[in-house]
Amino acid sequence: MAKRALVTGACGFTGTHMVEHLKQAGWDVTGTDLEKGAHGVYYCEAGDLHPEYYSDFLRNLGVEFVPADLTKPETLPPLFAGRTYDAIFHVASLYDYFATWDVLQQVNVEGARNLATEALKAGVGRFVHWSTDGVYGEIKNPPGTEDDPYDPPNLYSKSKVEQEKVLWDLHQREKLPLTVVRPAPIYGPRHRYGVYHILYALQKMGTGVLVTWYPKKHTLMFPSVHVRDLVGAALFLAEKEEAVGQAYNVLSDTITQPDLMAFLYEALGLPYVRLPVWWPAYKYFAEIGLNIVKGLDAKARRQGLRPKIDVPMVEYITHQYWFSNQKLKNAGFQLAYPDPRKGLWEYIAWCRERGWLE
Amino acid sequence: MNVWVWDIPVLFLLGVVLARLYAKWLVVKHPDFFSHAGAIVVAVFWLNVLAGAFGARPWCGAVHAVRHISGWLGLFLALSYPLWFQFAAERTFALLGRRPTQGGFLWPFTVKDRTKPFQPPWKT
Repeated sequence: MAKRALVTGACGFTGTHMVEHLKQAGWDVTGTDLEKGAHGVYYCEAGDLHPEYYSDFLRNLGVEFVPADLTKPETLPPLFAGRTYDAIFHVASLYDYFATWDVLQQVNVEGARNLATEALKAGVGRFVHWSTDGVYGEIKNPPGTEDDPYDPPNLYSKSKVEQEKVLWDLHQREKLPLTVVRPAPIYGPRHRYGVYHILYALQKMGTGVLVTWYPKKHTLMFPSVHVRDLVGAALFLAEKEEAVGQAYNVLSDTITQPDLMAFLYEALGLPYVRLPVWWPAYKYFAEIGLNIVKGLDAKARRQGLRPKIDVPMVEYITHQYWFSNQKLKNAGFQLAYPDPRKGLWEYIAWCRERGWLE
Repeated sequence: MNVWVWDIPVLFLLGVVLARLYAKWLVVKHPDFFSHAGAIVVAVFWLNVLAGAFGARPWCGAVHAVRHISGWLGLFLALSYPLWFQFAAERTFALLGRRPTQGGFLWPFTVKDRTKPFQPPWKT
């Protein structure tokens, strides 16, 4: 008999991939998400850069869809009525750097608590939870491992830390069969917020600057993961008994930011200049840039608009985010995209076909 | 050789103006415009310098502030004209974008987006 899974956030970018992957692996899948009209309640949908809602995709896959709002516990029992899940993949999250703390707390923290409470009542087999590598913040002794302490650098990451704490507490006290995946920034078909933001901004600027840092020990890294590797890892871990009670970083082998940027400029067909910079001078000017972006963020909020670049995204160009995927590899998982350039090349072609990039 | 002292600033200004004109309105339908315009502008300036080399007053005497530059120095100055034009155009492209869909380095520092949206390549 086929196993059954519940996927939350099933109409989102990662959720659709999780559903697709489970179907291909022969699972029966129930997808849940907000009703389409309710999406805008939590997301700022101004401009091109916000997560998309893919209800048609689910329908075309023939997946059962049961709408629910995780922040409203009374909407959750229908998800479990008459169904026993071998695994819940809790993908749903408000991933929006523009969101305020109240909304993040309500959706990410309380939403996870409500879902996990219902899952415990229903006796779910496994609970695979989506967190983020952002819970670590800047890594002091790179590459960071799953044992590094929490140090969230922004509101979104802070909400993911609080979310994890709620679930780890339920794991300790109520034996929630929890596995936490901590993905690096995700990209892949249907993705429209995060890594896409970088590609979009580079193409909108039209000319690149490839910064290299001196002394070279300050070279920054860029962690990322292809969505197919992420959902593959999630299913792989859901089927491994020893993964219960464990957290795993899920990311490709990390490459340096200059290597990544050189690749992106070439792939996007943009002319660029190399700019070697003394690290202290770079930090100084990056701090000025960060303050300018903060000012633009405040101005955009006053006008009811979204800034071109969200503030936390600028921190990626000033902080060291370098994580290890060794624990996942040691568990036996093989990445389809160990070098992010291969996956990004495919993703850029996918975006071009749809006019998301030129 | 007699040259007008404002030759290079004017070339620079023309580089800026033509680059902006090209990127904003002409690049899609007339992709060769910038190359042709640049060649014509530089050719006109060189013809003027050539006339100056034979003792004529620059720009048919319509301008003042004329200086005499001798020998090789004058030749190198004239050879640098396309570089000044190109330098100005490149800075303009980088700062303001190369196509109507681009906003250049200034794009992230504005709140309202005045660039055109991207389209699939077969629609452009």
